[in-house]
Amino acid sequence: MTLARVPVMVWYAAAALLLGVAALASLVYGVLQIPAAEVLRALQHPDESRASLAVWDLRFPRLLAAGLAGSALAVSGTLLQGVTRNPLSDPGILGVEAGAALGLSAALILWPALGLLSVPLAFVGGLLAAGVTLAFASRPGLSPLRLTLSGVAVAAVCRRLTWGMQLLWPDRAQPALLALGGSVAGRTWEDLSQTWFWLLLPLVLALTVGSRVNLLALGDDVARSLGRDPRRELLLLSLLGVLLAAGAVALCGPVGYVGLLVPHLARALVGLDHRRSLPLAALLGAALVIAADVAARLIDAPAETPIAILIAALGTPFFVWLARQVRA
Amino acid sequence: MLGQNVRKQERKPSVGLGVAAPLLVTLLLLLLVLAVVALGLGAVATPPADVLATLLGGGSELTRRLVLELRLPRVLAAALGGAMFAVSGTLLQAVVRNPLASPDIVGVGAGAGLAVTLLLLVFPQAPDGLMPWGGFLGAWLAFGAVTLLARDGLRLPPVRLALLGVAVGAACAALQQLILLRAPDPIGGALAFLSGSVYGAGWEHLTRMLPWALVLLPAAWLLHRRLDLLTFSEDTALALGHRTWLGRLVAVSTGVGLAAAAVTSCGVLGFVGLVAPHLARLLTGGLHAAHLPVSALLGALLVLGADTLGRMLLPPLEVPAGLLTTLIGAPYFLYLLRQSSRMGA
Repeated sequence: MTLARVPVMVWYAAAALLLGVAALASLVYGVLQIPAAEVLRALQHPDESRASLAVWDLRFPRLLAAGLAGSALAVSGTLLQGVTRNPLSDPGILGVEAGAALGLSAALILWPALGLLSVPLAFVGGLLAAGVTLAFASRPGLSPLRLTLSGVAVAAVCRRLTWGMQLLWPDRAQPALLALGGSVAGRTWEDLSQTWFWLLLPLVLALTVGSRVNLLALGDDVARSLGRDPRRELLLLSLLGVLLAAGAVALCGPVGYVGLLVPHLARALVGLDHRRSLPLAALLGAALVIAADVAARLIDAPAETPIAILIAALGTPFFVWLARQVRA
Repeated sequence: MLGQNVRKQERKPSVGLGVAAPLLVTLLLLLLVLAVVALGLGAVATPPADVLATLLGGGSELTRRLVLELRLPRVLAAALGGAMFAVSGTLLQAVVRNPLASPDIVGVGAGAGLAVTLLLLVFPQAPDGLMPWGGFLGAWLAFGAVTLLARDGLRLPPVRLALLGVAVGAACAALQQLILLRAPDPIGGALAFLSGSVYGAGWEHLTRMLPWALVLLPAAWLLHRRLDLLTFSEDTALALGHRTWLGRLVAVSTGVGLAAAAVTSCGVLGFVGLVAPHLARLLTGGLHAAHLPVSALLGALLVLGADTLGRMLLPPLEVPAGLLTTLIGAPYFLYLLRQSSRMGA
């Protein structure tokens, strides 16, 4: 592919620039439009002005939430696609997001006092969903089509259970509904303080595992001949991917297709080496979700459109295109 | 000769309508018993004897109101909706020769739901009878999009059909969610049933789908010979002198119409259209003369049973029927998927 001949650094720089522009736009635009110069001033010297309050208390945490969730989903998708050698793997399609959402709403509804522990419960939910999906899809080999269809069935069950819980405890479901709306509207520093740790650590970790994903992507035999246990590697890397997706769900609810779209884009730009595509996916994922969040604010202001719906508008045609490439 | 062919294909011998009569009667009796139980169930429980008396024209004023005005439409809506989804699934599975086809999986349910939502928002004054027509149009558009996208030359690979049905269905559902978020409150509330519940179904819900059921259910049964032919390969059907595309079009339209009309009264009842036809096939084999009615009765039993169970589990809370049917249907779908992989599909 000719794109791959462009030096990798150029793509990193372009993605970083894109991220910067999206981030600035997300601080500038909204119900109250604040000029860029004003935003930069407020960032350096916070004070009691309206602009400063809007930037620091409302938009900055929201920007960070969108960026973190976007990076996490994109990196999660890259890991999962790499280790399953399957172009359709992504946390949404594998049922991980729906499972995490189920775990999270169980935590919020049944044990509202848990607070910080809600992310581990989301992780457990995502893990169970992924486990069931893989168990049903993995014989013989992980065919992309069967993987997707199992994921769909698992996600349907998880979504219905989440919905059932919300119906049964309507008075307690409000926080769960807000958290799981597929949106970063109204995310606060408090939300971030409960989740950033669960996202940042695995993100940093994920950027160091590129060579291991490369080995697995080459096939079990290659991995084995180089002294690695492919099953253990698959398990560890999948766990990392599920953890990232669960953290993203805890922050903004299920946002499908980020983990499908971005890894394909990153691979198209820098090639199949995961040491290169993982960091690029992290940058592009953050930029995509932040940009979607800006669009979500502007499209129908002052109403907010959930980013999940906007990204689905991009993701569905891409999914259809990918599904048509796969041999049935 | 035809019979021999079918017998070769099926592990279980296929039975005609006559042989299936005892099965049909048993299922019908089960359905009646379940209906009487469901009619007696509620905040004020009514003993079965009183329910029967009320149905036959007796009973006190209060029981008449409870049983006939509040509970009967709901019970009928559940049973009829279940039967319609089941027959719709039977037709679609026969036409696309795909064990994974069911109205909710090939996008028909979501398309109908989206169209009904749009119709109610854009023309809130539209007569109630228009709703199934809107749903029919939406369902056909969604199904058309799915088949066009899944087509591979002249073939329609089963698993790809399901895959793209999922994508189109998800897109329709996302759009519907967006519209509902923006909807003024009374309409948003009025559409809550679309997520799969017969909670609060009144006579007006029932009359929405009743004409469609009265026309399309018998029509589906009249199609049974054609459906038998359609399940053969394209070449066999042609060799038998059958114009497949016309038969397919009629059968698909009937199936889509049944699902769309059911959606306007019960919402999308997850996986009923998948599970009921499969169970029916296990019981009767592949010939549609017996398969269709058995499937319809199983669908009715499944949804009425799910709704009744949902009312009994945690009173006074109601677990929606669609939740329970999904909890039963999705694992079965996974099991099927595993089987189909073993068979190399």
